[in-house]
Amino acid sequence: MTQEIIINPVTRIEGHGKITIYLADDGSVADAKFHVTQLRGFEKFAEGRPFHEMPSLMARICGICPVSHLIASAKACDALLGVRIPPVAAALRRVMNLAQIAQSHALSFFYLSAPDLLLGMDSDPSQRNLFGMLAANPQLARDGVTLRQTGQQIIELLGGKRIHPGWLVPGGVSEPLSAEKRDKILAMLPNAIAITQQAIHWFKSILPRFSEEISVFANFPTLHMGMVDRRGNLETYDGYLRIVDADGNVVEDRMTPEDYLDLIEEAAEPHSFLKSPYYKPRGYADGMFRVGPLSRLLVADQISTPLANAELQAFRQIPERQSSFYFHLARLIEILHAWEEIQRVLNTPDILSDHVRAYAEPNAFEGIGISEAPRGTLMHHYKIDKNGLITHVNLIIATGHNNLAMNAGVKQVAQRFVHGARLSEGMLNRVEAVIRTFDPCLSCSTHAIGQMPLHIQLIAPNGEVLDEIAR
Amino acid sequence: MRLVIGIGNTLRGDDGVGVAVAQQLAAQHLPDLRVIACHQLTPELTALISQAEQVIFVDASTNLSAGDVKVIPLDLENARALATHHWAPTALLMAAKVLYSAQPRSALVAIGAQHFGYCEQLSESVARALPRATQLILSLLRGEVH
Repeated sequence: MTQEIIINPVTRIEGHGKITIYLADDGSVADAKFHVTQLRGFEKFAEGRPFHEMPSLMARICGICPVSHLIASAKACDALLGVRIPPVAAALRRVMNLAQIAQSHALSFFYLSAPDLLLGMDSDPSQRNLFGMLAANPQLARDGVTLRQTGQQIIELLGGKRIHPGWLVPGGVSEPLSAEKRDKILAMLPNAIAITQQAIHWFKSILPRFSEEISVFANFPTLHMGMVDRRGNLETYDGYLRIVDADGNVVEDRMTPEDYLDLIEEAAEPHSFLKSPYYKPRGYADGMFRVGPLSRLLVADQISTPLANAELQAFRQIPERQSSFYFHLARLIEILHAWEEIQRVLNTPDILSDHVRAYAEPNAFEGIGISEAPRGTLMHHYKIDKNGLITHVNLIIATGHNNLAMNAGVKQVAQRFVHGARLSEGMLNRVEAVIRTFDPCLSCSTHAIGQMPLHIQLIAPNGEVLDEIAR
Repeated sequence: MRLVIGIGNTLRGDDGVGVAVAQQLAAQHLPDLRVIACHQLTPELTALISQAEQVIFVDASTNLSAGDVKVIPLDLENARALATHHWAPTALLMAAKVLYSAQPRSALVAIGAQHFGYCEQLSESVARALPRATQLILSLLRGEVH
């Protein structure tokens, strides 16, 4: 008879999730599932709203990555307007998106995962938290505070507030950048770069302690999707979609937002509110792909900024770089890239231009905006009627893209660490920790409204169905 | 620098009272006073708190009758880390102490609240408490109340 082990709730992730592990008769793990148990409903209740409200409405999907939704939403609205936004507006949006990526990655690495990395997977759970980290390595904790604060301050300087800024609008941004704000941002960056480099150095130094985790933390071949620019550089704001296989072979390249429905199909699973997107041409069984910092590094040919590019080239020498454990390193490399790229953009001559917004009435009934959020490729697709009211919304969120891989990762870790019907704290923590490597954001990814299919069977040990409820 | 942090969600009725108090204080443009409003306390506030000589948190409370206003001392000995991205005031103060050796004078001003539904208005009794809460915080800042 199959037994179930349930971990509920999964801790140190953004949102609420549950993991179920199914044991076979011999006590080995037969299967494991990651369930997302919350429902938001943003796709449905946006219907009927004026399209220009969408950026500020969609930003409310998440308190961690509102900027990411603002960016993708504003781009979808640009497409509805049919405008090409002023270059300086695009540059300023790019800066805000990079600051968002950096602060979110800092939260994931320093606040959510560092307790495992610093104190060990088997450490006392009462100590394996931020307080334990403060005591064990206060410098690391201070660095995390500084990096997150730097990203938040850049967002606040640009957008007026840290959370849910209303500065990004259809057609560009609402206000130009002042010299004072630019200089404040530039002044913060050298320290942020130095701290990030220290964190990369520290992370590399502890890697030998985690060889077992590296080997089974979602360490399997999958496709990877991410955005690149026309030269193949890592791109986060505006570029082409590229998909590579586990060997680095390019499977899809130079795909535009309008192509996304040819690339991705969304499957619904009965055990979770989180959909399971897959690469359409290969079908559900073989179409698993990953997105996010690790995938972006595996997809890009190079990074346009020198320090991060040097780290990327070193990363490419790592034999087990397919392991999702390396999401952590990829996050740090992307933080480094963010600071370098913000420096570059803010030092361009026209960055203080006041031409930052294009004005138009809707010129298209359908608009798609795609950008790279901290956790991966983010897609906003809107349709409007002749009055500019929303008639259809489809959102595909990074955490959704990773759903199949997260489930496979949970199973891989459980098969390695869980034996028999009794669980140790270390086993439990590793099963959760593989989810944390993806840094899933469940508030973002449970945006669809609907009824979760419920089918309960009461089955006797001999297989007889004693009772059954379905709705 | 003295710091007031108003906590709450203005889309959930009385939960936004901490933010409303923060807005009233910010409108007075007092010298050497920094006022911020936030949905929840996040660890990076530690750095700002470490630079303050005094910090006052303002938040809605379900432990008080609606409209009651009370100063609650913050006991660092009972600080608990929730291990996520939102912390209690005592956790932030403890982090400021451990990371930056900073121990600003601190207090929580709690305002009794009752309605947390989806609206942007405060209930009548909580709205009436706003001036009292603001005056109490000004007294704390002037050192007239401890």
